[in-house]
Order: sequence, then C-alpha cells, then structure tokens
Amino acid sequence: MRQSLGRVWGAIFLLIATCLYGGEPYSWSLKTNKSSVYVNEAVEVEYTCNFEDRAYLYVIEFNPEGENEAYRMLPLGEVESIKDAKRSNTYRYVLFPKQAGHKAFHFRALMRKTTKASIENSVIGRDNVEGYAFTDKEAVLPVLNLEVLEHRERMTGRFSLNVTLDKNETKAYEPVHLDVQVKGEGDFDQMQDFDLHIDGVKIFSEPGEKHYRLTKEGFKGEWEQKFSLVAEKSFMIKPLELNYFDIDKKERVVLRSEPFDVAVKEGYKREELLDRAEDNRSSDWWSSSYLYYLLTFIVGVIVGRFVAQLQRLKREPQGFEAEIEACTSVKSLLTKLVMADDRRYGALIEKYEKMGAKASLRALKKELRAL
Amino acid sequence: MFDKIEAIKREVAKVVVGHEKMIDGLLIGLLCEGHILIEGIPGLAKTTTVNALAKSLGLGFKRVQFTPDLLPSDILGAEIYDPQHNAFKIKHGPVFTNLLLADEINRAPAKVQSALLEVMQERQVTIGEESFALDLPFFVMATQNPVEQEGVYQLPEAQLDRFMFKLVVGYNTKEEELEIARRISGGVSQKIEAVVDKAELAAMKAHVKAIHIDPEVEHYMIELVAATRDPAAYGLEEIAEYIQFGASPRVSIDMFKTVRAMAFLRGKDFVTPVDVAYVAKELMRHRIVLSYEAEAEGITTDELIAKILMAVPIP
Repeated sequence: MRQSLGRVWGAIFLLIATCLYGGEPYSWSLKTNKSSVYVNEAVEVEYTCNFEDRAYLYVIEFNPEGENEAYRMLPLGEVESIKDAKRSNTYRYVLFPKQAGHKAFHFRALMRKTTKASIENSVIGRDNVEGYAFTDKEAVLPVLNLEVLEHRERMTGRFSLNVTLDKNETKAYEPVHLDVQVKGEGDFDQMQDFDLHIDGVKIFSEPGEKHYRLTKEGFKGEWEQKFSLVAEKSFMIKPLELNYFDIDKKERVVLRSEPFDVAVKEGYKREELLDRAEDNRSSDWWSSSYLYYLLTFIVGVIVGRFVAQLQRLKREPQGFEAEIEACTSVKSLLTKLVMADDRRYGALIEKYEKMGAKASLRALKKELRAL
Repeated sequence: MFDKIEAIKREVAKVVVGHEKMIDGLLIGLLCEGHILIEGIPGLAKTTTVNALAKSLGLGFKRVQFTPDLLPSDILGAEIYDPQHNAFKIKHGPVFTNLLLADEINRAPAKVQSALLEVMQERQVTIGEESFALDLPFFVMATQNPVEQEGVYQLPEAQLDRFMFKLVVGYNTKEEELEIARRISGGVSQKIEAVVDKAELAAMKAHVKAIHIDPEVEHYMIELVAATRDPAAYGLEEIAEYIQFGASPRVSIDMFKTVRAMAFLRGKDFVTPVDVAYVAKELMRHRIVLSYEAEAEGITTDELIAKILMAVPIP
C-alpha cells in the first residue's frame, strides 16, 4: 500500500514538473558564490541557459534592472558557447544587496524564437515585417535567495588607508602636498571625498581619482585624493578617518592616519605675491602703453612688406621655368622649347637656331623671361 | 618650292582654323610617303583637314567609317557576278584613292585592320586572282578616339609601328574657336583650289630627299632611338623600368625621312637637332611600349621621349 502511494506521488510530481518545464528546449540554472552576505557585500550571480541543441532560432534578452531599493546589480560578462552540439548562454553579474533580511530576487528573461515567416521574409528580401520576426516567451529564472545581514556602515569590504605628506617644513605661501590613498576591495563606488578644514590654512583639493575595476568580490583597486595646503603659520593636519564594515573581521573598522605637524617658516610676504593694483588716476581710454602697441604694429607691417618683396625677388623658379633655368646650352634649351609645344616659342626657336654658334644662352633665357 | 607649301597651307586655312601642327604632320606624311594615325576627340576638324588637303593637292579623297561589322571587301573591293554578261567583274573599294581617311580604325575587327594595313604597306590590292597597284601617292590617315574604350579593337603594337606619325589633336585656342564659330554660323564657305599637281608634288618629294643631314645629326638620331631601348646607358635609370620595348629600326628609317621634311617645311635645306625635336614625339609616342609600372603611375610616352631628348647629348 505504502509502495503504491509512493508511485502515485512520484507520478503527480512528474506531471507537475512536465507542466511547468516540459515542452521548452531550454532550462535556466543559477549559481552564486555566497548564500549569506552583509549589506552592500558583493555576490557573484551566474545565470545559465542550457539548450537541448544548437538553438539557432533563439535569441535571449536578459536585461535585469540595474538598481532599485533592494539591490545594485552590475554586469561582469556574458558567454555563449556550444558544447556537444548544445548551446548555452551564461550571464555573470555582481549584486550588492541594499536591505537586510531574507531576500528573494526574481528575474525574468525574454526567450525570442525566430519564426518561419521571418526566415521566409529574409530570404525574399522583405524587411518591413518586424512584427512577425519572433515568437516571444517570458522565462521565469530560478529565484536568488540571500540571507542579508545588517550593519550600519556606508562602505563594506576590505580596505587600507595610507596618508602621506611630502614635507613637514615649508615657507610661507609655499604649498605642502597631502596624498590620501585607499586600497582594497568592496563597494569602492560608495567612497566619498575627504573634507579637510584647518584654521588659517588655504586648502586646495581635487576630487578623488578612481583606479578600480569590477571583480566578483566587488570593486578592487585604489582610490586617491590629493590636497595642497598653503599657510602663513605652522599648522597641524589632524588624523583622517575611514569607517567601514570589514567582511573578514565581520565588524566595524575605523582606519585612522597619523597626524602631521607642518612647520611654516617666514618666506614671501603677502604683498610680494600679489599683482600691483591698477593706477586709478590714469584715463580709462588711453594708456601710454597703447603707443607702444601701435608702433609695434606699424613696424610689423613695414617689415612684413619688405620681407614679402624680398621673397618675391628671391623666388626660386618652379616647373617649366625651373627646367629652362636648368638648361646649360642653347641647343638643349631649344629642344626643351620644342618639347613644350607652345606657339609663343616658335619665333624664338627659329631666331636662335639661325644664329647657330653665335647664340647666347643668357640672351635666350632673358628673352624667355620677358615673354 | 617652299612657296608651294605655303600655298597649300593657305588653301587649307580657308576651312581649317589653327591645327598647324596637324597640318604640318599631314604634309610630312605626304612628302615622306608615310601614313598618319590621329588621336583626338570627335569634332576637331580631322576629316575636314584631310579633305581640304586632298583638294588643295588635286588628289582623290575617300573616307571610310570603320564599324564592328565592316568586312575586308568593304574597303578593298570584291569580285561580283554580272548576270547580264554572265561573268564576274571587279568592284573597287574605297582604298582606290590617293588620300584615304580611315575614321575610328579601332572600331573594326582585326581582320579588317590587317587588310588595310597590308594595303598601306604593299600599296597594292589583290581581289580574287587579280592584283591592282594603287594610284600613287597613296596616303592613309587613320583616326582613333581616345574617349570611347567600349567595343573597340585596339591596334596591336606591330600594326601601330606601320604608322609613321601619331598626331595628337587637341582643342583650338579660344580665339580660334571664336573664329570657327563666326565662320560656320555666317554660312560663308570658301572654295579650295588645287594649288599643286602630282608632278609638283613629286618634285617636292625629290627636293626633300636631297636635304642635307650632317653625320653628327645622323648619329644623334640613332642615339635617340637607342636611348629608348636602353635608357640606363644614357643616365636615365629612373625611366628604365617604364619601357617594355623601345622604338623599332623602322623609327630610325622614318626619322631620317621626316626630319628632312620638317626642315623643308621650316624653309631650310639642312637638318638641325631642332628639327629632330619637332618630330620626335610624333614618331615615337606610339612605338614605345610602356611597362605595367608606367601605366600604373600614369607615365606617358611623351614624358619619356622628352626626358630622352634632354638626356642624349645634342651635337
């Protein structure tokens, strides 16, 4: 009796499984590297769609929402492969849960199958029938269940803080440079710039530079912020602090830098560094320096014209003119003129040919220039 | 004697404006008994010039338009059956004339081109079993159109070599074109008179043959032809790769003839290197075979001839 009851349950289970998943030539699977994480801790999520064959007709559209109140999700990569004549598509993401508690994340993918009509339309060259291109079906993906543990820190991960000062002694109005570096891995993108305030010190700073990349453990790399501090008197830089939740120690960690004493010696006076104030007594529309500009302009024009004229005089002959100048005998020049096939030279050729040995190359060139 | 040449030019100038170089080339062909190939786009008065020249010389003139379906018998003539007399009789083709204009010669198939070129060489025609000597002077002026490349049968190098001159006809100057337009639109046509007869033409030919060429100039011409075959030997290594075949010995022969005619046209009784320069391009531009490299780089035979003329020492 008990044995037959088991068979009945088995049959019912098989029927339900067939109704739910049967009939489709693909199945989705889920793989994660963690099941329990802290808030904002990175989890690698890998969804794979396995087909029963090469599945040429299928197109998958899997575009999960990037960020909402429950999580942030960033893509790590997508791989399509065919092994043993079976296609599989793998989508890798890194998910950062935002809320604590037991969380179930539901994702869907659109499975698009190319229709026969679409293939026929492509073959005959019709391209205005997009509506018939696919048969769409929404696939419900395996649920991602995570146990998300609470903490109160803004950042989560493993970090180290390194603060350096280029010198401890300087002159008045000469800057010292403070370099703040944070290295490690975690939700680096949540890092905020340090805000430094010291009485009597002028502080210049740049936004933090991000040198990190996304890995399955979150963002890995370093973050750097630079400060320049200028003062008249000696001052102290108080320790800088970075609070975060360390996922190895599973506790709040406070990273603190050393304080720096900066001795400022007398150097420049403030007045020496400032531009001289405008002479308000001078006229608004005329200054003696204008005369200098005007004279410079006039001299420039004169010199320019002179140089241009000089260049015109010294201009190197080009093209046929240069070939004429290159001729070293009357005969070769006459041959060159014949080759030019230009009627203007006809009379000159005849004239100098008749002169024979008496013909002067210089005179011929001169006459040619005059043409 | 030179007055006759001037008279011929005056008569031709009644209907042809400009194109002095083409007219000189045609006269040289006539005086040296050589055939002329003319390249130029349609409408440049090629036919008009030959027609005018024939009239001014009192010679017979015929024109044949070469087409792809032309047969050798269409230009040479054929033996046809005369049913009235029950016998075959010979019908002469258009080659039986003094000046023949073969218009667009490269449009006809090779067998028609060969038939004409054979007549040009032999100056006699064989129809059936009978041979007929052509009435001298026999002079062919062939034209080919550079614009149209489709449906043409390019003349082979061996046949091009039979043309003594290749003249390239360009556009008239603007002033000349204005004159042409005024003349044609005015409807005034001038009659061309025959100013030279066959005896005078023969005398002119004899005079041309008597024009003196100095041995130095003779050697210079031979050096020029040799330079087309081996430019590197004349310090022209840079153009050696552009020439596949240089000018043939026929060029040397024609050069010796044409420089005399050129000197005659220029009113002299001796030849100078300037006369050689005047005929060099027309003589050699169709007889130098360019290499693939030259065609790829757009080098023309005219450019190569100019370089050779400047490189070979002038006596």
